[in-house]
This record gives sequence, C-alpha cells and structure tokens, in this order.
Amino acid sequence: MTEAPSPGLREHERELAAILDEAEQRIGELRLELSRREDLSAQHAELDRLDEHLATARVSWSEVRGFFDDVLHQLRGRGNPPAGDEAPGGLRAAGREHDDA
Amino acid sequence: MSETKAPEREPEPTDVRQQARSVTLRSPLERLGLRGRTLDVANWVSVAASIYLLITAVNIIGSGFKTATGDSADGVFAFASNPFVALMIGVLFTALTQSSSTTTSVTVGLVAGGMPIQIAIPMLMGANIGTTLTNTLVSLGMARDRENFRRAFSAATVHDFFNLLAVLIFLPLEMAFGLLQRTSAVMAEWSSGTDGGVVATVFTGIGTVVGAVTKPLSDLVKDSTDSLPDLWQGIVMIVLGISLILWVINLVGRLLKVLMVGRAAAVLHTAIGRGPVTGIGSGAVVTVMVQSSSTTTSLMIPLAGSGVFSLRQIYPFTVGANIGTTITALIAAFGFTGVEAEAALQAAYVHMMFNVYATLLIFGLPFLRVLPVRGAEWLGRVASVNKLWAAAWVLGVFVAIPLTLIFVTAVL
Repeated sequence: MTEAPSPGLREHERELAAILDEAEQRIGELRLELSRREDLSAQHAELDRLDEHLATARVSWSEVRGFFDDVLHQLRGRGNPPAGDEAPGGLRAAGREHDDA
Repeated sequence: MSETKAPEREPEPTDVRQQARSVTLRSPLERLGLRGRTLDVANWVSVAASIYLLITAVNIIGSGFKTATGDSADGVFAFASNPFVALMIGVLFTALTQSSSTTTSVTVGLVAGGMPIQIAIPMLMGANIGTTLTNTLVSLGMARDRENFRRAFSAATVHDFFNLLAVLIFLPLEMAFGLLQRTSAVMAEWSSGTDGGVVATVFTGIGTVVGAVTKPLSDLVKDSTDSLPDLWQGIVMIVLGISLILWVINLVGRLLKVLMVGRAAAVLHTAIGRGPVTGIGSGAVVTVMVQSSSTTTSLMIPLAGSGVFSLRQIYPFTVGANIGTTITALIAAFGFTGVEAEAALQAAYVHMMFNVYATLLIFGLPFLRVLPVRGAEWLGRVASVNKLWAAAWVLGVFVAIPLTLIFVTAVL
C-alpha cells in the first residue's frame, strides 16, 4: 500500500507539469522560428545566385518538345509514364541527351 | 515576396538548379570583345539606343497604319469589333511573340494610327493572358520530377489563373460601362496637350523632344518605301515596325538582365520575409528593371519548383510583374505628339489601369485573392499525376480556344 501524496507534493507536481508544458511550447516555438530562419536563409542563398537563375529563366524548346512527345506517347497508349519518372523533357529527350553524351 | 512560407520540406538541390550554376549572364556585346568598364558603358548606350529604336518602331507602326488605312482605320479592324475576337488576337499574338511588351507597344502604335480604342482594350487584356504562356512553358521543363513539377506548374499557372480571372471580371465591366476607356481617357487628357496642368506640360515636353529625335528615322523609313502603293507601303512599315520591336525588346531584355541583376537581387533580398504588398512592389520594380514580365515570372519557376519559395510567396510577385510590364507601353507612347500622343497615352493607360484595378480588386478581396492559388494548386496536382492535363491547359488556353473563337466569329 502506498501512501497518498501530501497536498504540498501534489502542488509541486502540478507546478512541474506546468513548467514542462511551457518548456515544450517554447521548444515548439523555437523550432518554428529556427525553421523560418532556415527557410529565409535558403531563400537569400538562392537570390545570391540570381544571375544564374536569370540566365536560365527562358523557355527550353527541346524540353517543351520532349514534354509533348511524352504526352503523345501517352495518348497513343504506348505507356502511361507518370510524371516524375523521366529525364528532362521526357523519355525521348533523355535518349537524345544520352546520344549527345 | 511575401511572408515566409510555412515549412513544407527541406529544400533539396535539383538538376535545374545545378544546371543554373553552369550558366551565367552574358551581354550580347561581349561577342565584340568588350570587357569591364567599356562593356558597362556600351551596355547602357545600347539600352538607350534600344529605347530610341522602340519608340521609333512604334511611331513607324502608327504612321504605317495611317498610310495603309487612310480614313478607314475603323473598317480594317471591323473583324475585331467583337471584343472576344480582339481579346483572342491579343492572346495569340503575345503567345506567338512571347512578349506582352511587343503586343502593347504595337497596339499603342496602332491606336495612335487610328485604331479604335474599343478594339485595343480587349487586345491589351489578351496580352496579359498570352504572356503567361512563357513561364508555363518554362515549368514544363521540370516535368521529370513529380513534386518539383507540381510546385513549378502551380507557380506558373497562378499567373494564368490571376490574369484569366482579371479578364473575366473586367471585360464584361468594360463592355457594360467602358470603365477602362473612361478612366484612360481622363488620364490621357490630363497628361497631354497644353492646357492640362503641370503633368501635361511635362509629358508634352518629353513627347516633343522624343518625337523630334525619333522623327528623322521614322520619316526615313516612310520615304524609302514611298514608291509602293499606299496600302503596301503601310503594310511594309507595320511589318518593319513589329520586327524592330521584337528585336529591340529581346536585345534590351538581355542587356538589362546583365545591368540590373545586382539591383534586382537587392530588391528581392529586401522583400523576403515581408508582406504581400511588398511582394507585389518587388515584382513590379524588378519587372521595370528588366523590362519583361516573362523574365521575372519565369525566374520564379525553378525557385518554386525546388521548394525554396512557396506558391503563396510567388503569387504577389507575379501580380506585381503585371503592373511593372505596363511601363513599356508608356515609354512607347512618348513617340507621338498632339492628338496621336493622347491616343497613344490612352492605350498605354488602359494596360496600366487594367492591371492596377485587377490587383486592387482581386488582391483586395480575400475571397477573390485565394481563387488563383486554389486553381493553380489543383491544376498542379492533377498535372503532376497526369501530364495530359498540363498539355490540355497549354494547348487549350493559348492555342485552341483563341483560334476556335476567332474562326467561329469569322465564319458566323
């Protein structure tokens, strides 16, 4: 048989639980802030390379053609490749790139 | 750029970003062997020369249109008196040239040459839709990775949805009340002529100086085609003007990218972490710097695709690009004087006010503001699963629907 905790001890436990809750909340907020700062930092890092991004900010017609080639393949029922599994601009573009290499 | 995005995922390098590292901005003048300070000076001189040529080209178009049509300018564009056809002409022309600045500049020239403003207004709206094709095509290049493609296609089509929604709201309003026509007429009257106050005096002064400088070249083109019959002379002048604008817009865009990249980066660095209004402002400022909304909106595609920037950050920036690009038509309008100047300015103001009104209304009303984002998120999701959706969107919005509408109207 265990003795029931005294009212003073119970009060102490409640205080500890409250401190823990507050600490967890603070940790959550800190994690969120940290994540926000990491995002900001990543964004600033990308903007530091703006000249590279500006240089590539244009339509690549070979990729557009590759995309529509894939769609045509899909329409003709030669396969239904889900987006995400192909090389840039699609399977044909990938083939061409290999050929070029 | 608006507030920081909610943490989605850890940004991860993509092939597109790796590819970007291997490419750097180069001025076309580097081919001439110019380097350092000399290259900088040559770049700026070329920008000034390009703007001179742009204004002259618009002037040539206006003059050519007047020569070709005589007093029957209204009749030439009778086929476009249906606002939907005029809208689709704007969409198609811009999609073909990949430049809304070209469409708006040409339209300014045509209006100065006598094309009715009622026809020009839907064309200018169409330019807004047509220009969204460029960044949508850029996003197709990211189709290799499903998640990257979902984000990139959403970031591209949020521009499409915003501009479509803007036309959906403002074209009927224009047809019913002539909202843009009235506003732009008041603004043009206020900023041109000799009795409109300080602004009119300044604008007229600029117009007179610019007109005096560009007139000799414009007259030279007209004189050198004088042996042709009026109709053909006008057509040749218009074709020459459009070709010149296309070349100049392309050249000035490449030069300004090189010259403005540092300043543009500073603007964007400042805008990160702030609200959507700053995002709109930065989009407008960067677009004015590079003189191309296609460039600024395409710039965002790899950044959105890789997950570094969220759709909600890209959205206001894109909307700002709409406003920034209207400066080109305004510059082009300075190539005229007198009554022509007032007409040209009115066309330029139409484009500007359409984008300002659209931003105020759609961004000002929360229930409208979310629609382009929801539309883009949905389209990005379905297109990433099945690329047919993306193909249908591109071909449908930018090719099939415009051509069908023009064809049906022409036949019926």
